[in-house]
Amino acid sequence: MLLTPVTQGAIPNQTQTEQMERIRFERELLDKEDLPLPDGGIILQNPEDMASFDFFKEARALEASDIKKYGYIKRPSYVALYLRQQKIKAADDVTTFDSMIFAFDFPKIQERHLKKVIGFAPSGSFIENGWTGGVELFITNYGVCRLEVNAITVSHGSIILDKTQTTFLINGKPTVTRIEGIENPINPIKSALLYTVEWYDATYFRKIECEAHDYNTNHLERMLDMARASD
Amino acid sequence: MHELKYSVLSALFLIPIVLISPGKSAAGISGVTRHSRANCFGFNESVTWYLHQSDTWKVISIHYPNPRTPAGAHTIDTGWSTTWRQAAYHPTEAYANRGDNYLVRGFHYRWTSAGEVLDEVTQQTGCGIYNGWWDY
Repeated sequence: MLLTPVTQGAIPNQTQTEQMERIRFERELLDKEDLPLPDGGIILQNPEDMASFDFFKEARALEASDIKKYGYIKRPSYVALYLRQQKIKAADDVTTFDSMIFAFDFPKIQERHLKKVIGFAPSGSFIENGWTGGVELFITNYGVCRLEVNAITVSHGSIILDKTQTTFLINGKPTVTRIEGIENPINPIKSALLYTVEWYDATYFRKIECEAHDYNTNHLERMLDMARASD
Repeated sequence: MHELKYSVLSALFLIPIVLISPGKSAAGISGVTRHSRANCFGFNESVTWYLHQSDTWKVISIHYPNPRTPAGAHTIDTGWSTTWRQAAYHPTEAYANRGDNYLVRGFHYRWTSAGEVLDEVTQQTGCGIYNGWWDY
């Protein structure tokens, strides 16, 4: 069933002056909260200069404490469990690449890093010519992974990064890594950890997530290699 | 401009979805999805959601009574919270059958300990939950 297509572009009969007036209005509004602005690029900041610094002080301290104690953030990862499930049965929205309509060129994972592609799924929003984001689900020799792509040229995304947590490990591009999940020492098969590598450039915000049963930084190293090769 | 704040109203959201959806979702299961809707059985909204994991999100939805100018526009700001679905929702505001013609623009934010992300700006003047969302 086809429903009203989204109007992501210009508003009918809107003059350029009116459009500029609206953009100015929105920028002033978002600027008051020091939030990232549409098409605002990648900005590196000291954490204490970020708008959310005070609000998330406790959450950040908790994560830092977990990392110091365990090496990773200790909280359940449902994405890890979901990824594991995909090996048995793919979710309803997973389909072939050819069945997907993306509003951008989807940058796939390089084949030599894959054992098998499970499929592709939408993310972001559906605009006139397709989805603004997408997901590639795949199996590696070490576990099930997903690549999520946000095409910021059509989603108009932007980011303010904490410079103390940002590296440039993916071909000199701003990169953030994270490990979270729960280990089960009695029954390791029930352990579910999620390894994440996010990297950003002027075209895409990309995230690779892989599930694993154990905490092992080698998993992250392999993902960084995969990201570098697929960038 | 005045500012209104509404909490997440999951039940109210699901009713219109069920009314207009012929089948099951083809999105939001394997990836985070975001949308805006306008003049939709009374409501305007901007929503971020992902079935498999809660994330820390904030959605600011700007509602323009006249799509061409900011005059009379107001915002719904969810604030930051960790949830699987963050909805900036304004019920009983906009009815297409009485001639309302709102433009809704949604600003979908995500927080991680490494940064603040504007993931997407969504825009709508209609109620469609787009081609591609429900296609079974």
